[in-house]
Amino acid sequence: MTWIHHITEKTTYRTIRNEKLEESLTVVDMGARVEVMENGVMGYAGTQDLSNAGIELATTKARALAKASGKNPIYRFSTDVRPRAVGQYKSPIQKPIDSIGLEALMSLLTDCSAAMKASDEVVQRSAGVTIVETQIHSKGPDGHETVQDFSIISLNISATAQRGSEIQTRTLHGRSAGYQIGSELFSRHRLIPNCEMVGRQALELLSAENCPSDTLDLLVAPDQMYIQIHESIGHPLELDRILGDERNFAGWSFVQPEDFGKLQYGSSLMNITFDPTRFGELASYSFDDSGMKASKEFLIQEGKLVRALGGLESQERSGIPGVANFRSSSWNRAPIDRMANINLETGTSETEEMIQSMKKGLIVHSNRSWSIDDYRDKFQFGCEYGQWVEDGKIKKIVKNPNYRGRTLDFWRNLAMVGKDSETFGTLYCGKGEPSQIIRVGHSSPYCLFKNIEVFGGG
Amino acid sequence: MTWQNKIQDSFEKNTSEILKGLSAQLQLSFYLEAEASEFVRFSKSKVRQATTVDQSKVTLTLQSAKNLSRICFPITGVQDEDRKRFQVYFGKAKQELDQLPENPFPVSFPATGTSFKKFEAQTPTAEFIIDKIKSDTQEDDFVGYLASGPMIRAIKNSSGTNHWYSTDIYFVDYSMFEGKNAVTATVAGSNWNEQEWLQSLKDSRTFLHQMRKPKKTLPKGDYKAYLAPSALAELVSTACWGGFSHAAYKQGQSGLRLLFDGAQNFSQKLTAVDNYELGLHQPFNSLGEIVQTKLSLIESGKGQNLIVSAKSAKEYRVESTGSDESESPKSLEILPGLLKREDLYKQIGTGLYLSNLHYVNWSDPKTARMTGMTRYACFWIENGDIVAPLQDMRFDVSLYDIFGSGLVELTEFQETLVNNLTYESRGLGGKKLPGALINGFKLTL
Repeated sequence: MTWIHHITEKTTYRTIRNEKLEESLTVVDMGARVEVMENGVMGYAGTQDLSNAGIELATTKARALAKASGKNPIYRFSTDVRPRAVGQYKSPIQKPIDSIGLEALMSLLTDCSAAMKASDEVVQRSAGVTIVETQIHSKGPDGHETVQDFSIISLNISATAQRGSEIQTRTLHGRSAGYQIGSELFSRHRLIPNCEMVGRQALELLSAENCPSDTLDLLVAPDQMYIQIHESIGHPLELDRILGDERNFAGWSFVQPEDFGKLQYGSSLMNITFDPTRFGELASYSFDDSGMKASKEFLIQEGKLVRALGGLESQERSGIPGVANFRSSSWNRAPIDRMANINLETGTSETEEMIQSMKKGLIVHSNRSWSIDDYRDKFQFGCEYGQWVEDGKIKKIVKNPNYRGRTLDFWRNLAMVGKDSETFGTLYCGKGEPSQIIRVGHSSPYCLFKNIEVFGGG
Repeated sequence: MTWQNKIQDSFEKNTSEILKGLSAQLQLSFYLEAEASEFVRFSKSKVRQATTVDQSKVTLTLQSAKNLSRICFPITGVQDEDRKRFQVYFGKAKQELDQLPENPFPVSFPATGTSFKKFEAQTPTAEFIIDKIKSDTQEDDFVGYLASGPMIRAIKNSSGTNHWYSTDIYFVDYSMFEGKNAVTATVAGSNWNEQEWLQSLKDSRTFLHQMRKPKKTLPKGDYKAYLAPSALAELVSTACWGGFSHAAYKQGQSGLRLLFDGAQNFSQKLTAVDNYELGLHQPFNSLGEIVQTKLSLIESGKGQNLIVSAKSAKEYRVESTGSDESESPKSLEILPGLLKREDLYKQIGTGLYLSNLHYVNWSDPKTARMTGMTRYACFWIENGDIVAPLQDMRFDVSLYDIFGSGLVELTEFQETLVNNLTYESRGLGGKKLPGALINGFKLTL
């Protein structure tokens, strides 16, 4: 049996630095991945020669690899792992990306750069966009055919302030401002004030004290929550990691197959979903690469682990319930289990109410550093901008805020969950052998955690 | 016609055709990156996935007196199809040229002559490695992958520069597990070396055997530690992430800023060179400049040279070192020290033997502080003897501390570690590093 995925992608990088052109690059990619199943084993071949002869040659290569792999396969799959699917998906955009002309876009970015100049001490001002337009057209046996079109924009807004040897960089959401969206994102009325804020806060950080070392209440803003969710929930729940396929590179997982349905991952306020249906989030889609229909599922419900992030192949191998997340980065890589949109569902608390509840605490915004072990247990994150809280009130700005902890302890200390969610995402989640980068989205409200170890730079 | 010959033929003919008709007011360059790769991924000594990939992309850079546009597009080796693509994307680049803001730092495309280097070998095929893993590792829990096949880098520009570099290489990057104990290794080269392969498997099994003891969990604190070359590589790779870039330094983004300001030094024992004589990377960049063959980055602990692209050279009025715009070392070598292999455990005395580190990131770039985890075969040593494997621990250290007064000695042996990253495509380059014995390695969690 044979499946063919035609993928075309145009990625455009435009950046203005200090009101001058820094980068303009367009990358066009076109290719096809042919997948052949022989006796329950798949072989994959990627080609850029899209002629009939090119596809035939790729099919021959994929078949030969399937046969060779069949001498010693990890598993012989049933054909159920490639369900027949027919359907379409389009990113929910209001205005096509090309509805803003190149000159207008560069003019807007130049104004964004200028807007960050809160003073002469803001010495570097960078305003950039990454625009991705992708089509994945998959065909297979029995009329299997899906067409999915994605329109993606990621904003890269950054200001660096310098006073003597003190240098501080503030960005718009830690470079996590990526969405499925059209050119409606390029709203001057929204972007310019955000850029002004970035420049102002870079300047504030120059005069800020270093974050003290302490163990206290930590209020995490959504643009830091996104990576906390990504690293300490998304990756450990990927079923191919749990099965051991990633042990040589990305790592294993502290989660065991028998933990599903039993493990109390976090406090009862913790509700985590896989949600490929969320409007505008980076990894929304209708079908994964196997053809499995994508739907919203709870992974963790009231703190209890209930479902894994595994596609049909991993589900068949393990018997553990999963989701439609068997995805490849492009035509030149085989699909593997990837997280997609992994979201923390909203709670009931107002942000102000959470701050008022903090006797002594720290609010952290915008990720700048991330590290976690290969079992996804011991983590450390650094943020751009901290706010020190005493007796329920924000007292001062602190620079270089960091915190560290262990996954289950951290999530079990989740004490309050905000009622309003914000959505972020990244184009650059790395995993796999050969390596792949893929787009992921994470929505979360502000969340309050108790007894967290925090510290500063130096 | 082989895949390589088809790509070469298409690139030569199509670039020549466009360059021939180029207006005198324009400069044009074409940079080719291509590979025909076989990847086989294994888990539990069995095949998880096997993939072949033929991919070639051309980055076209077009420059007028005031503007620059750049487009990257795929080619196939099929002459007629590629001819259309060259024409289409050259047309798009011309169209964009006048719509973009002025290029503030225009650089003339260099005239560096012509060169042709082609290294051919019999790299292992997918079928070969599938048979090897089946025959040689069935008693093991082997996980990892093969990446194998020819790779091409080429540049041709309107100043007459024409360089071609192709090589035929492979690596098997693997780990071997016993329960949660694991060791990792890479076997790499051009032609398959059976003896080296079998020795690597044997060494991995020996290391695993040494881990058959209860793991030791250490309290937080400062420890004497030996970083094997592969562990040191993790810190060095993160340091290369902007650390040696002239643009990053000038823009406040270099984690080694204080070193290159002269406000901080490493130990006199530390000397680092970006050494293209190692033969791990092609000697030209994507504009056609020839790289400086040996660029001293750190000399006896002092920041010596930053890496400079043509663009930075123009902006900051310094000399280019022939780097591309990433301005990162491609063949970094740290020169060896005096510590002999046979004295290693004795010199550790009581402390840590760290074979690998994991997920290293800056925790405070200003003070060159990095955090990360221990991983794989790491041991607790007492009085020069291995006592127990280590429970994974988090560290958070300043490079100025551990490679400054904390650096006891570097080993007299070095290891060559090839670039094994395969994001989007296979990479060239690598590192040649010794091990490092240091005091004050701070464990935090």
